[in-house]
Amino acid sequence: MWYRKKQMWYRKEEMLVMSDSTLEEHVFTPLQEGIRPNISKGRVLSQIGQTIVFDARRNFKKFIAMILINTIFIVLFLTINLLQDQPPTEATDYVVLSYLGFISFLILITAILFGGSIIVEDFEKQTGNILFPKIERGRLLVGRYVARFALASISLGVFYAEAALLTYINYDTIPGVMWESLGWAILYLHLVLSFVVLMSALLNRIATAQVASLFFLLMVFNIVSSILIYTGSTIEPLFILTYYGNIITAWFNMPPDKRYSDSNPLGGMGLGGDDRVFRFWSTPSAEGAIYGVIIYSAILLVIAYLIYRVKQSKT
Amino acid sequence: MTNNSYNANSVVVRFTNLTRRFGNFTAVSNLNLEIHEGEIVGLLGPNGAGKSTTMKMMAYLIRPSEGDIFIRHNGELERLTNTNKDYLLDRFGFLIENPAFYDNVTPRQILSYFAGLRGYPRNLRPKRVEDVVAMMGLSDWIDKKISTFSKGMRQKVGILSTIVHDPQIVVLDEPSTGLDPKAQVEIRRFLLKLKETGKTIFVSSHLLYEISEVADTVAILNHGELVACDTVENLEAKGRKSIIHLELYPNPNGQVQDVTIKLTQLVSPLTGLEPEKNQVLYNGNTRAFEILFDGNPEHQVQIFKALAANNYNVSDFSVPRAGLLENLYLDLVQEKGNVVQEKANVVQEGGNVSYV
Repeated sequence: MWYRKKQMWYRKEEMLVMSDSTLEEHVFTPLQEGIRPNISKGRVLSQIGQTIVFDARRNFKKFIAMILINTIFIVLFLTINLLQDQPPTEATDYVVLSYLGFISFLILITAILFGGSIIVEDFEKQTGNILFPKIERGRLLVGRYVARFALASISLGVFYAEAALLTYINYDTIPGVMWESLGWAILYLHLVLSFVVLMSALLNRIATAQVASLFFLLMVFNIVSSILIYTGSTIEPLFILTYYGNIITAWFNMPPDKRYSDSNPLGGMGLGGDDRVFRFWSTPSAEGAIYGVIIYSAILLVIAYLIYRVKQSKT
Repeated sequence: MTNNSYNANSVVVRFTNLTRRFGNFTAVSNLNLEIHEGEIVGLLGPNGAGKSTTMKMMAYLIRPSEGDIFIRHNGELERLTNTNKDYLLDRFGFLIENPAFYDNVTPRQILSYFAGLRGYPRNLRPKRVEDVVAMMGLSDWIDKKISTFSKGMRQKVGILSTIVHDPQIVVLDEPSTGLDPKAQVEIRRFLLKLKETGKTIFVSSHLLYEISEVADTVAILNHGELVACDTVENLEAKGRKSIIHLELYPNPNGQVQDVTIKLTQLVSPLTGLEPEKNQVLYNGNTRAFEILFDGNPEHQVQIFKALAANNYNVSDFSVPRAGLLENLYLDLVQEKGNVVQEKANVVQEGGNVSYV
């Protein structure tokens, strides 16, 4: 029975292969002039819209994968919480925060997954050559960015929703500050995604763009940040991209004015012994985060777009 | 310029002294060419002749170093510039080199996307996509992932992507490269069908047979220069020589050399050509004899009668259309100093190995 079914399946496949060689005559009638589209009138928004829908569909599997990853993280933190003593009822903020322990890393993974291929794919797979005559690259980039940012944001929202659900199950309440934190997370996602888009424009392979993004976001920015601290700099590191991620969790207990601490960890550890004081910035202010992210991401995206155009004209 | 019956008002694209240089290398040099409405123009030339560069300049992907491209718009020929390229190229469908697609999409999705990008009306789009897919006989594959497609099928989808928005002018750069003979035949048939619907087609290839079978006008490029441009018939007339494809039954295995000598003695006085070496050759690949003659139909008939009178069992006696053009092409390429290698490439790709 199984063998016969398999044989039938093979036969069906064979028929499909054969049918590919048949030119169908009846559909060669020319289109009537009346239904010929006027394709020269304002189609910027239409092209962006088409690209959003197409790219969102194309990345839907990544979206599902990201939701699964998020859920794994939630289950992991739930297990840790269950193994620990349950915190008192009034400490729901603390419970929510426990789920957000790796939120910056999660955002980083999300951005790399969705943004790593956004531009470089066209050059690695030569898919850019199918879009002639030139569709304005800016429209493609905007469409793709919106689609991927939307999917990434929704997956992040699902993560928060899962955390909120578990909190509600245990404590019958969901702290409102959690949704504000989600807002910051989405804003930070926009910034990280912009950076990954730039990497995708700069590099020539998807994997390289993803690894480079990971390297910069996990290591380079942190190293630069540490160097600044230990050179005695007191300026707020708004140019360090990863600094903006601090506000996501800091928002639960936002310091009213002083967002830094001065201390000497080297002296404390008995390594330095001198009385130098280093400034550690914990989080940007709300205004600083909003303006910083907008300016930073705009610069990154504009550079990415320009590189995209230059690269396209060379191929 | 072509010597055919088209008038000036039917010109839809005109290249005037089109030149493109890359540093010291001139890829296209002073190209003058007209494409008329409703015709198939074949751009023929060996690899590196400047075909793709010409196509890319037409698509405004690269800019000419000198010269201009004019495209008809609202009854007038307009010079293609950065400011008007969008609307001038609106009615074009381009396939530049090998098309590559996102693997995880289906022909329906990708073609619908392209049609949408080019502004094809939303309500007509689903039917249009199904129709063009049916044109290539790919209806059964319309909802299958492109990752499962063969190279030939991807190429077909690439060609469909150029026509899905119903352009008036279709520009195809080497559409049959890398395809098996069956797929090449299908694409040629497809181009002829497109022409019947009123499309103007500009197709480049280094495969002589492909061009000669479909093109009304053939433009031959070599080292970036236009060495000939005319209708296939006029070029054939200029070619003077042609080839008779002769198959005998039973095939004279083991006696090929003797039969070749006898055939040479028999047909040489009838070919209309000065007696020369290798006037009759045996092509081991096709298992057929190839007789070089002047292309005159009278001589063709005389040769056939002579064969019949001498009791040769002829199972196939034909003159492939590419034959005449092939000789002219080789002569032209040779004149430009591109001698042995080019000839080898073209003849090999045309399937007639014996002349090399």
